[in-house]
Amino acid sequence: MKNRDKLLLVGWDAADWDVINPLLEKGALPTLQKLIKSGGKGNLATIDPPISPIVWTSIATGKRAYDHGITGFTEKSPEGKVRAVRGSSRKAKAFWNIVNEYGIKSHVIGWWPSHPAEKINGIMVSNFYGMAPPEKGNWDLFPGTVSPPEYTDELAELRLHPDEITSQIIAPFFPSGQVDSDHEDVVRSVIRIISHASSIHNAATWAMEKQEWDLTAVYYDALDHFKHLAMKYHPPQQKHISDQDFNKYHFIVESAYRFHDMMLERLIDLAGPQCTVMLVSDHGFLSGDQRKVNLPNEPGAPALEHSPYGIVCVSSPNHEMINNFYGASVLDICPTILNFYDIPVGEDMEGKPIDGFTVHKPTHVKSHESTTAVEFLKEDNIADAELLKTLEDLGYIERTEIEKTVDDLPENDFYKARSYWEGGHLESAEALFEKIATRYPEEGRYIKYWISICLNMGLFEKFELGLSKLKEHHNDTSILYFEGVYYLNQSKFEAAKTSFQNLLNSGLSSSHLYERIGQCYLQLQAFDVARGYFEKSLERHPKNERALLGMAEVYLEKGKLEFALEYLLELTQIRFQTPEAHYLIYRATKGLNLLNEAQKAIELCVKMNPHHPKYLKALSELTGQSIQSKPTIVVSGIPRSGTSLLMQMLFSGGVEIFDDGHRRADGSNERGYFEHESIKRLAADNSIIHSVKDRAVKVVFPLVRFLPPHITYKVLVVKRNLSSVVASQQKMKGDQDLNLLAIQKWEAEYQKNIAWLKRQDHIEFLEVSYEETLLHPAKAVTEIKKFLNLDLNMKAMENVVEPNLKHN
Amino acid sequence: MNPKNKSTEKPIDKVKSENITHQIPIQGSLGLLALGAKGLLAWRKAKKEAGFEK
Repeated sequence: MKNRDKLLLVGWDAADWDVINPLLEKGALPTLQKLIKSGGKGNLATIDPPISPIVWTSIATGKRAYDHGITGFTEKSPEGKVRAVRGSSRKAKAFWNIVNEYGIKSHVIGWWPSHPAEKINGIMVSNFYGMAPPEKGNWDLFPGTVSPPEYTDELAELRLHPDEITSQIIAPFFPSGQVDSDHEDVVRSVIRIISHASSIHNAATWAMEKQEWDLTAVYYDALDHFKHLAMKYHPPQQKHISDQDFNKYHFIVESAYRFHDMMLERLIDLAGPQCTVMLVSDHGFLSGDQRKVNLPNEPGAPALEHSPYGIVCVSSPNHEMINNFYGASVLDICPTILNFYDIPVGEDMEGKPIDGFTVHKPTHVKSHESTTAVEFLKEDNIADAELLKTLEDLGYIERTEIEKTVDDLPENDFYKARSYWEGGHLESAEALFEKIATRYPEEGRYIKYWISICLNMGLFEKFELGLSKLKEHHNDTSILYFEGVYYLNQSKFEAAKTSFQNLLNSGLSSSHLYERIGQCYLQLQAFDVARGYFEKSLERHPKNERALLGMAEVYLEKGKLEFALEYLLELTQIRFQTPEAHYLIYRATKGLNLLNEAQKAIELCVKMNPHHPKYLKALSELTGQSIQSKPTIVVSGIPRSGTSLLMQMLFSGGVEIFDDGHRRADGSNERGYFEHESIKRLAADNSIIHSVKDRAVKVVFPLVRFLPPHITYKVLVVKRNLSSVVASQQKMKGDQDLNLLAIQKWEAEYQKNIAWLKRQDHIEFLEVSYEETLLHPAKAVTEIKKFLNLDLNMKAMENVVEPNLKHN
Repeated sequence: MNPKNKSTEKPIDKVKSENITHQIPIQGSLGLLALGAKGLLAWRKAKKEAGFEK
């Protein structure tokens, strides 16, 4: 198609501004400098887990691992063997599939994973293209690498084998000149990485000239490999790196970036001046003092060197954009590409077009998955040992994992569970963590994630079970850490502080640990001590966001508002989308009588979190306008405490009820239950609450803590004598004997939830005595009406109450 | 060693696409590789013509 906007998407695995900015300052990256000058840039937040094949598939699809189906470096072959992950395992459409359906011609080169190549309108070269055997010899392309296949021979010739790399080519990586390519592993690795990157680049430049295109997407994994290899030698010199090694290898990462900048220049030259260019990375890489000296001996450990922010940079001759993008995520890239071509974004995609580079008014379609299926080329049974060897060399997978025939892939389950967790599917995540932690207790990280999510979900019995497993199999300092987190969760700040300090005394120190202790002191209102710990945290990690927030809170409490502002502005530079930081900016600027700034800050807060009562109240106070969100009415209590009666009363009083009518009235509840089936799944998916709107909804007490926090609630808690509650529960189940243990359990549950409700800014609650309601319905109705502040039919509500209605 | 000084000692050579045939170092260079397919093919051709490769 003529005159259609062209887009060049370039992926640089593991690129980040922390390394790039100093290189830009010294003029080492002129192409990127030009791109930035003429366009916009920002951080690109990664997703968890930051595992490249998972994240690059999220970039391509706009979906998380549990939706797109790529859950690790490896997968199970049809024969039950472990093999390198295939693009054909992707369950969601990539942007190149979707744009093809709209007539846009695309070339896709080297995307990870993308083997076998797909039949697309354009040229596709799979990620197996550049895999080189140690000896050049018989170097055939794997079947299914090139689409259309007729280009296979031509493209095979464009690969660059490591044997062809000369000392002249690698000289810029080793300016000291003292290297031995025959005997030094580092040098051999540099050669292999250059050869692979060059092969991909050759295929990309060839494809761009071979056929006209609207969209070209090229992925280079080389920076990630260079960084895993040599970030430890990158300036500033680390204490444990010898002078000799530093002198020899300190320039590898810089040279890698320079090489990428030169390759980018060539791509942009070929794309032409009218092409929009987008450069992205999947995650960053720890640098400076954050670099890890040792990595644990476990699969996927290198990913611990990844940092949470990659880069995004866009330059477009035809579209205006802002210079700084804030709050962009890898999940936004696919929607941004679709929006660029005025294609609706799928409602089943989590992201949105990047703020600041939204070319067309965003439109939506339910899903792109229901249309044409993706067609893959055929691949024979191939020995992809070379790729597995590369992954093994990098430490991402273990040899034992490769060679065995497996029933399951626990590492993939681990990654999938983490994806579920970050995506808010807590129940699915917890179940998967429990499965692998139980089956593989020797893998400490499985247990640690499991007990962390149990704490998060308030599953304290499981937490204790998991903690005992951890003590049994890995009796290390992490026990103290988890005890500390448990106490923090329970607001037992003294106990939490003791656990964390014991950990510190054991010799472990980290920015995170100091920040945790600072939080304890902050909550205990020992502000000067808290400041000392936050400072220590920031000495170790100057960008620790929670420590920056902690410092700001300390200074706010001490009335040093300008100091607080300094920390808050630093924090918003790192992560703009932090509503709490803007709220504290509002407090500080208001205190300094900078009312315009205060208003801007609180308006930003409300924009970012439009339902948070604290922010709404602050905006209302500042502007004098009544800005109130209508609270959702929730009826709660222990099962069989009389919640259905209260729902019936509200219904009779004129409140609309959110129920599905599935659970019919029966002998135990003669007037019905007033329940909605999907509320039972609140822990796994709480989005259903958005459908409640102005109606009243019944939520059993243990699930109240899963109500989404950005909505305000008025909760009516039915309080009933627990002996009667348990007797009623047992009668319903057909038991005769009163279970005293059950009474104790429900009593603890009730107290725990009441304590939790008291701590919530966004929830108001009223305890309604069941017995008192039966005895004095008029009084109960008056209190409920006053609490809800609604015009209710009080007489009708009273008439619902009949003493003989109570459950026995 | 001062890495900043070092970085300017040996700048990475660059060969522009438009004069590719005139500046092909037989030993190759990073700049040549950055030109992509055309750079690779030109380099191989130059090596062959110089008798370095069959």
